[in-house]
Amino acid sequence: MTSPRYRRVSAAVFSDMFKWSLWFFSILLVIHLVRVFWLNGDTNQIEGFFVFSQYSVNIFMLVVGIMTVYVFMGRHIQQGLSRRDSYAGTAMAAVGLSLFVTLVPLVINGIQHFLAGTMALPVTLDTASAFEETGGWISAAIALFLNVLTFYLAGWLISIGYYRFGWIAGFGFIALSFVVFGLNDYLWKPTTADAMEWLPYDPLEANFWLTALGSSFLVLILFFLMRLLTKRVTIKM
Amino acid sequence: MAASVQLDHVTLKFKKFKALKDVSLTLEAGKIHGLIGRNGAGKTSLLSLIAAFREPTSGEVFVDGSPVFENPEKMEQVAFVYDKDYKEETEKAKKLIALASHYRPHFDMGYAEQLIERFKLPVNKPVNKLSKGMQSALNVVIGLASRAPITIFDEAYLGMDAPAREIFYKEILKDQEEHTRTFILSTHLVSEMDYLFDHVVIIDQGKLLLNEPYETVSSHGASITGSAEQVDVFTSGMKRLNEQQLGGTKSVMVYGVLDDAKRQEAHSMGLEIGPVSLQDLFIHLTEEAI
Repeated sequence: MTSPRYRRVSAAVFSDMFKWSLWFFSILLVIHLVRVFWLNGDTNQIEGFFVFSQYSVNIFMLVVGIMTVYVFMGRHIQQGLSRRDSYAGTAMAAVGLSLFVTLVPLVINGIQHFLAGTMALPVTLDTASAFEETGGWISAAIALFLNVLTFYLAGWLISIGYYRFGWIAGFGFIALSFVVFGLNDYLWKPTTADAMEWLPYDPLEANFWLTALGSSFLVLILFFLMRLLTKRVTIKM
Repeated sequence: MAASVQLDHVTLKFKKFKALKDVSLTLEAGKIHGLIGRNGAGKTSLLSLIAAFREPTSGEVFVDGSPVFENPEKMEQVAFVYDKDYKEETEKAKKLIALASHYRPHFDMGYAEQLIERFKLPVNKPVNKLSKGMQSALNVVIGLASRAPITIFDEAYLGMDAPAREIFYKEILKDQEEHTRTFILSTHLVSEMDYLFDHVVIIDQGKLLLNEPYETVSSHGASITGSAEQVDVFTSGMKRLNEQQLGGTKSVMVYGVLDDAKRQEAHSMGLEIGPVSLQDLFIHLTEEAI
């Protein structure tokens, strides 16, 4: 008995993305270690891996999202899969990858925290304050997970825009992705230094769970939009 | 395992250009269909509809009686092999073969390995580093080993040298004996591939010209050879495709059915009746439509 088609898709897509993420984290970790041991300057303390990697992980997910349509979608239809199965499998793989890229910085940060307590490092690592804003590592993990998934979806949105509508309309999709980033910043940036500062209400300061709920809603809208945009797409040859 | 294909009044438009114009046809299950047409006739458009790469502007495409577009069971039955642009494909050939085996329920890895051996395909090389002929061989390996009930090869031989093409043709015939499926072979190399066809489909300028068994098509053409005078008398009133003369001997190619009485008449006039190749018929039929 073979597994359902969308699961075959998600297994294959996740496996490829997983390999890319291993490369990415290896490089990122090397850069971080170089910074800790050799390029620590005069600073008294530098950030732990969790904080250090957040921005890069978001960009990585954006790039993976952009690659998704061009690398996987045409391949799936050519292998006799429906657009629905391709979409569902890819979406599952994206959620899986988001979990993985959330987990890795957490674990490395935890190891650093442990090592800092047992051995002398050339510089003090701040492995704890990452979690102050959100109040604990669980909420920090939820925040990172929702952020990376949003970045992935923004990338996926840009690539389907280019793929379906050509490069001029593609720019429109880049503009749309800026709206997504703006909303995401509004939800997650603790200060008012974001694109939506004219809005009087600051969700993160008010309530973490409300922010997470708003962010989840944004993710769901993006998933829904992607289904609409891939539902009857013509495959390029 | 084989499946049939039906097109019901299918029209495909690209903005104002009509690539296919109200095409209705049935491709019988378990046969090798030769799809012939000049450049831009609409062959690839037609095949991309069967593979559900796109939707028709109007009409419907069916596989075994069910619409194929976004129908997972039916889409799974179609393997569409075409001259894919591999410039950006940095994966190794073996990865693409493994992917096909991951997705294709009837994929036969043992058979794929035999084919890799026969084509001497370097599977550990990135696909964009392979020669054009080897990229085509990779496509052919995936298409044949997938054993999809409907297997479409759209000019799949591009860049292959003559021996490789010969292997490709022989493998189609051999595998068809053991694992019958519906093949659709779209080609320009009519004279080289006509012996493969059970059925011939000719399209021209987006319209279906002909969809007949190979024997029927080949029996529609004849070459009449004999003394120039007699040949002219015999072929007057018939559709002439071509004529050649050497001294007093003339050979005229005609299109149409020659019944027994006509054959008898030719015999009594001392004329010889020979066959006409599919290639010549194709050239004539599509020229006429211009």
